[in-house]
Formats: sequence, C-alpha cells, structure tokens
Amino acid sequence: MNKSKITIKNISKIFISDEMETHALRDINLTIDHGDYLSISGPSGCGKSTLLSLLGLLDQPTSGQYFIENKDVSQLTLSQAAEIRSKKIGFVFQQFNLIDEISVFDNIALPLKYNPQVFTKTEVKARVMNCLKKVGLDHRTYHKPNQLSGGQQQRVAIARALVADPAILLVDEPTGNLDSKNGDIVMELLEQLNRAGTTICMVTHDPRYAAMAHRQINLLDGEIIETQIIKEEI
Amino acid sequence: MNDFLLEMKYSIVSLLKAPIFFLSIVITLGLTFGALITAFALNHLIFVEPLVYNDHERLVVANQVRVKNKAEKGEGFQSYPALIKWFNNNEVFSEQALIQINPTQLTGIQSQPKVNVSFVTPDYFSIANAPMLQGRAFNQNEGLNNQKPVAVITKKLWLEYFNQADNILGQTISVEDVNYTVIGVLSDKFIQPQVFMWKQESDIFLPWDFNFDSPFIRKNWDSFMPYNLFIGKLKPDISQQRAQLQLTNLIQNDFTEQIQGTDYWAGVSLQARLTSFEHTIIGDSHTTSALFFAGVLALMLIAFSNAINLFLSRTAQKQRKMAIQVALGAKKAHIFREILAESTCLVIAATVLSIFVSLAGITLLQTYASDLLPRLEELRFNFTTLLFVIIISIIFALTFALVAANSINYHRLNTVLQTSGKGAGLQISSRTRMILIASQVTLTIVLLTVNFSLLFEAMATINQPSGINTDDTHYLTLSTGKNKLSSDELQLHARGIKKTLEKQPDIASVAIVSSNPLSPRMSRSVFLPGAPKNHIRTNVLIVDNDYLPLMEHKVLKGRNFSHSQVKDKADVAIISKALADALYPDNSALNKYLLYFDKQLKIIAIIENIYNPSKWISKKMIFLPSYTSQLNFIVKRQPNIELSKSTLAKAIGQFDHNVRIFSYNTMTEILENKLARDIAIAAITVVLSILTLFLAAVGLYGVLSYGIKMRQYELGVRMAIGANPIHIVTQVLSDNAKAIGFGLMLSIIAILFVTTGSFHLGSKPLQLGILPTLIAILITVTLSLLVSLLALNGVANKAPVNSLRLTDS
Repeated sequence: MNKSKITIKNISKIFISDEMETHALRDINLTIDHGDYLSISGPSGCGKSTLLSLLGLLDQPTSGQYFIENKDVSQLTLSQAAEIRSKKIGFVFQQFNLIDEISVFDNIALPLKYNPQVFTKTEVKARVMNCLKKVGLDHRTYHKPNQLSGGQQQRVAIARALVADPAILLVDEPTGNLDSKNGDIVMELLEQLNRAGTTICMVTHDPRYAAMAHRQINLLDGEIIETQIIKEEI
Repeated sequence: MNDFLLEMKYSIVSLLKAPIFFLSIVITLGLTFGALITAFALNHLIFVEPLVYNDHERLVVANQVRVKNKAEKGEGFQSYPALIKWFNNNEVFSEQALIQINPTQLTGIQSQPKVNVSFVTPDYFSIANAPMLQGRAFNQNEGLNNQKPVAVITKKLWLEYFNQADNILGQTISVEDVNYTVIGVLSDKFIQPQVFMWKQESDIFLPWDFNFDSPFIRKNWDSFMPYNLFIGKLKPDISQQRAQLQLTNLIQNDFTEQIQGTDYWAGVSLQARLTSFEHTIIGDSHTTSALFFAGVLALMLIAFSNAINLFLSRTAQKQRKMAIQVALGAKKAHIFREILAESTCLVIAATVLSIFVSLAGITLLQTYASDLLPRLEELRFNFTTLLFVIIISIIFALTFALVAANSINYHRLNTVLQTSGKGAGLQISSRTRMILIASQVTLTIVLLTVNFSLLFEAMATINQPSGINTDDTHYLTLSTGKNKLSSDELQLHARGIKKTLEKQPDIASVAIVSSNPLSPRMSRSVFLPGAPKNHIRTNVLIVDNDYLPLMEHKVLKGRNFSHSQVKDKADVAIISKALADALYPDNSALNKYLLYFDKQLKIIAIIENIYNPSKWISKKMIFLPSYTSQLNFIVKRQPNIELSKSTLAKAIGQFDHNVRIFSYNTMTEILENKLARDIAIAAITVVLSILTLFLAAVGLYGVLSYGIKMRQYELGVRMAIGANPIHIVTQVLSDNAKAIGFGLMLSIIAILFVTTGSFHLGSKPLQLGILPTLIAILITVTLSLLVSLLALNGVANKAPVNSLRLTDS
C-alpha cells in the first residue's frame, strides 16, 4: 500500500435549497496518516456522511482545501475525481451496494475496469482472489450477491473496496444493516485489515465500534467538537 | 364521489406544478388520439354505415365493357347510343337515370364563373334522395327528348352567385349562352352520389337533352366517353346477373351491326357490367381506410406506451409521498384512487385536445383527401364517434391507473421511509424496460420507413423533369358561346386569334393546339404498316409548327413541322420516344412510317417523352400537324411580365367580341395541380415523420429516464468505486444497445413482412425501399442514443453524491 497522508484544511460545505442555506460542515481540519484508523461519530444531521462524501471526492467542498498525498484535490473535474477514486479510495456502504446481476467475482473486479491502469485477466483474477481470501469468501467466488447473507455481502463489498489497493478505505455505517454477530465479524475484518496496513476512515453511530478505531472524532452541527486518541498507531 | 372529485382537484394542482410532464402526456396522447378518432369515424362510415340512398342495395351503375377473347377493357367509358338504348328499352329497373358531368360557364353572370354541370334525367333526384330547399326537382315532362330548359341549382350556387335571393325560383340562369329557368334549389344536405371515376360535385343540374355531346358522338356506337353514365334501381325481383344479361342483350347486336367491317373492332363485343352503388362509390377504399386506421393506431400505441412510461416515472417519483400516506394509514384503495384521479385529469385534458384535433382532421380529410377516399362529405363527429371517445378515454384512464398501481409494492412502501430513499423503491423489470424500448424502436423504424418510402416516391415524381418548359406559358381555351362555327370557320378563327395575340407586346409567341399537352384528351390507336392488328394506344395532340419551340420540347432526332406541313395537314408525324420505342424497338423509327386510321404517316422527328404525373396519361404520344378546329392555345409571355386575363380578353374581343375566355391558367399551375396529390403526400409524410420522431423521442425518453432513475443509485455506486462519466455513458448506452438492437431486428422482420406481403395503399402496392429503411434505421438509432444521453443528464454530469443521496444517518 502507498505511503499516504490526507489533509483537509478549513473545509466547509453549504447546501442551498429553496433560498435556504444549510451549513453541513464548518471549517473542518483533519489529517489522516498512513495506517490510521479513524472513526467519525455524532448525532443524525451532524455532517458525518457529508464529510465522508468530501473525503471520497463524491462531492466538492464549498470552501477550504483537500490534499491527498500533498496534491490539492479540492476542485477537480468529474473525470479527474473519478480517476483518483479508482486509484486511491475504496468505499464500503451501509447497504453493501453490490450489483445483483453480476457474480461476486465480477463485483469485486469492477473497480479495476474503471481504473486507468490496464490489468490483464491474470492480474485481475489474482487481485480478486487475493481480496476474497482476505475477507474469507474465496469459496463464494461465482455466487450472485443475493445468494449471500448480509454479512457476507458486506465482506464482498469490503473486498471490492480493497481490490484496487487504495490509499484509504472510506466506510459508511458498515454494520448498519447487519445483526450484531455479522456486525462483529465485519468490524473484526476491518481491524485485521488496518493491522495489515490499510488506512480506514469509518462513519458509525455505534460507540462500541467507534472505540475500535485509533482516533475518534465527534461532530456536532457540522463542527468537530472532540478528537479522542483511543490507541496509538502501530 | 365527492372524495374522488376532491382527489381530482388535488391532482390538477399537482399536475400544474409538473407542466412538462402534463404537457408531454396531453400533447402526445391528444394528437394521436385525435387522429385515431378521425380514423375511427372514417372507418365506421366506410365499413359500417349504409349509404344514404333509399334501397341502396338495389342501386347499380351500368357500365359498358368491350370484350375480345374474354379480355375486358374500356370500363368507365360509355357509348352514347347504347346508353339511350338501355334507357328506352330495359325492363329491369324501377327507377333509372342518365348522367353527364362537365365543366361549364355561367355566361349570364358578369364574371362568367366556371362551374360543374350535371345533365340528368328526372329519376336521378329520387334515386339520389335529393332533398329540396326550395321548389322541385325535374318531373317526367322534363325528361328525355322533352327539351324543357329548366334548372335545379345547389344551395352553394344560390349563395355564391344569387346572393340567396328569395325570388330565385323562376329566374333565368344562363349556361353557355343557353337560358334555363330555375325550378328548384337543392338542400346542402344533398349528398351527390360519386359514381364517376373521378370525384366531382355538380353546382347545377340541367335536363339530359341539353348535354354537350355532339351529334356525332350521340349517334356513333364506337365513341366511348367517360363522362356519361347510367344508374338505376333494380326491380325487387331482378338479380344483378339477370339485369346484366338483359342489358347486354339490348346492345350487343346493334353494336356489332354498327361497327362491322373495321379491323379494329373485329371480334369485339359490347357487354354490360353492373356494379353496386356501394362498390362503385367505395371501390378499393376499404384497404386505404383500414391502413389509415392501422397507421394511426400504431402511432397511438407509441403515444400510449409513452404516456404509460411517463406515468410510471411520475409514480416512482411519488413513492415517498405514498409511503408517508401508507404510514399514516392509507389503504391500497386510497393509493389507487389517488392515481386514478390523476390519470383521469390527464386523460380528460388529452381527450378535449383530441376532439379538436379530430375535428381538424375531418376538415383536412374533406379538403385534401376527397380524391383518395369516398363519402368524406358524410364524415362527421357523430354520436358513435363520441361513444368511441368516451370508451377509449375510460380505458386510457383505467389502464394508466392500473399499470401504475401494479408497479407499486404496497407492502414494501414502508421500506422507502426506512431506508431514507437509499436505492429502494418502485421498479419495473429490466425485461419489461427492454420490451418497451424495443417496441418503441420497432414501431418508429417501421413507421418512418413507410413514411420515407412514400416521401421518396412522391419527391421523385415532383422532381421529375416534365420534358417541356412550363415557365412563362399559359394554356388558354376560348368559347364562341351561342355563335356556333363550322370546323373550317373555327380553324380560320384560331389562326386569326393567334395573329392578334402575337401582336401584343407582352406576348412572345403563340401555338395552336388541340388540347393541353399535359392533359391530351384524344386517345387513338396507331399501327405498324403491315401489322394492322397490333395496335398501340397513344395520346394525340394536333399542333402547329410553333408548339415545339414554344414549349422547348426537346427534339431527339429529326426536325419540327414546317409551316407548309401544318397548313397542308401533311402526312407526317412527330412521336414521343416511348411511342418510337414501342413501334420500332431497334431505335430506327426516324423516317419510317406508322398507320393512323387509314393514313400512312412518315415519322419526321422523335421527341422527349412528356412526363405526366397523372397515371391515366400515357407517355406514348403522337403529334400531328394542323391548325386544329378547337380554340385552344399555348401562349408564352415575355419574361418577367404579368399577362392578365383581362388583357387577353380585350385583345381577343378586338378580333371577335363573341369569343370569350373559357379557361386561362399558367402551365406551371396546371403541372402543380397534377402534382397536388404527390405534394400532399410529401407534406403529410414529412409531418407524420416529425410526429413519429417526436412521439418516439418522448417515449424513449420516458422509458430511458425511468430506467436511469431506477438505476441512479447503482450508477452512483459505480461512480463511487471509480467510474468516470464516460464509463457511465458507455455502460448505459451498451445496456440500451441490447434493447435498441432487439427493436432493430424486429423492425427488419416487420419491414420484410410488409415488403413480401401484398399490401396496398389505395390502388398502389405499398413498396418499402432499401434507402428509406436505412435512413429510418439511422435516424431512429441516432435518436435513441441521443435520448439515452439526454436521460443521463443529472447523473453522469453531476457529482456522484447526487446519485447516492447520502444523508446523515
């Protein structure tokens, strides 16, 4: 995995609708180093998912700067943002968001298709199988997503996020649609991945899972009100 | 009921907030439903409603056919003495009438307007159920050989030329300088039976005795004219076959006796052919009418599926609102009632528009399609049509509501709220979407191919060079009115008038002709010398030596008539290339001979064919040199100078004040009139093509945007994991390409089916060309791709978060 450092400086996001301005984020400053495991918590509407969208280049900030590996990515075109997402960012969603029509293998291989780097079939297969082994689902390679349990689907989603070897894994409520047993399995997997060097930034409601991160930041009304160091980075 | 009305009120408010959706549905549905109503009214009239004439099933038209070796020809052309023989001697009809229809002039009126006259015997009015507004129709005292100069006029003529005068009865009306006393005015409810080959309404009815046929035609058994006809009502106990046999027996012997000795008529017998009024009036229009309905129905189906797609799309957009209603206790019936209220409002608006469209359609048909379709003057928006409109409107409203209601999984609506709208919602299957896209593509390609094929054919006719230069030329026919002149006197008059006109400074040159070269009225047979039985039917034009240079009629080989050849009526002829090829296929016609009647004529020139849009006019033409005894001229004016009718009338009046202008038109107008049908077809097909493309675009946009709306979250996920806008566009186009390709395949099968089947538009077979098919495919595929891109607007060109709609949890 690449050496990485993510820095955001004075980031704000304002949503304008029906002549009403909503400050979703105000002057956020944050640094995520390589191997970091950060959790973002806070009540509904505090701006957690907005922050995750900005970190994942799914949206642009209204003001402020965003650097990935010292490159300013605050105001990229859609295509430039897509290229960085395909190379540097892996996403895990609450609803898993696997594509039902294609197999587990093809779902995991999908980011490689969008990556500007051209991969041979052998390389694709090697990467997909490697990721499937990491999440313990190499025996489900050619199943369709709807043939898997919720926990298994989320593990496939994590494998998909890892396949392009991203600089950071952005995880949005990974256990929100899972029972506690499957939630624990997924969180354990994320912890293993972090121990193996994957940088993770996770949004969660659950204080138990938030505490599994190295650092926890709490948001309220679009501002960081607290940063807790839970454990030192390895 | 009150609740439903209240729901409708809410729906109206809601629809007004979505004007594009509202107008898209109302316009697409309104236009096509309007056309369907028109087509329904027409088909109901033609297929179901009986003719308006009493005992119409017993009414027949008696035609004459010439039969040789069991082959029949000449139907529609009648021998005058044979008609009179039938009229005086048959015992098969309870009522019978002779009709001759002709254009004429009302010479008692200052402007001498041209009108159509029908010369009829008295029973015509009872057979045709002619209702009178004033006065009476002809009685038996005004029948055959009674020479009573009386007239019955139409209400239209009474309004236009007599200013609706109360004292019209008893007034004199002058037709071609003969005075007639008006004895009746027909009601405007009178539907004139269209029993001639061409459709023509008469303005004035005169007794048969005064018809325009010359004594020669009246007594000659071998002069066959298309403007005379016999109609009758069969006695109740007489079958059509029996009547036909008796009528044949009445004329056969006389005909054989009268024409014996001529080679041309050897072995030919004259027989009667009876056709019912219904068959004569409607002819082969059942197919045309049914095809019209089928074409409009296809458009309607496109519009209907478009409307359903848009309606589904709107229902999908409203799922959150419905979920809240369900959460608050709304039952399935409540949701259905709300959807039905909205579909009812939409259908009512579309139906109101469609009624206006259908009324306009009926007027358009009556104005422009009277040559193509029968009974159009009876076409009305009547009670049956209203019933059709109500039934179809109810079906539309219920179908929209049922389809939309079926697309909602009532039990899953609550999940919409639970998931904050993250990807859950209403869906129609990808298979259904594919079928909808494919059906749109198929119908569009087939309709465009038919339209383009007709358009290309019409354009080819319109752009075909006529072979003569019609610029700055006028066709002029003169009448001597009461002052009847002999043939020699007429020839002298023609030459004198020609000289007078040539002296006018505005006139460049003048040619004397027997008729308009675009409508040669004379048709005769010519033969190869030594083969008198192998006749070739040709059109004949008698012209002077100024005709060819004036019309710039191209001489391919040989030379023009000389002045002396015209003066001496020399035994020479100029023939068209088509006739030359028919006579001498080895291209050796020049300076050879042909037989015309008993004369051997030397072919001194071969000229370019005149391309005539009328299917009745043959390209085989023979031009004979003479100063004809008809006062018909082609006048070429000086360039860029207007040549008015009054200028001409003044000049002609100086020569002989009894001579008046009967008709005066530019040759370009005459040519355009002949092209009117093709110009109308071209215009209609262009409009239909645009309408088809508009409907297809709306429909495809509806399906594709709905599909994309359903996939928006998935596309957002793809973007989140690295897909750029090009990946998204490629993905969607490639998904849609399957459906478009499927539609393309179906359309090719449909086109092959139409091409190999014997489908007819009117009397013409429907031929679909390869080029129109390819263009239709190209346009439809391009349109589908463009619409796919348009439907992606707001997804591929926006930040992924818009598609993911991530909300704070």
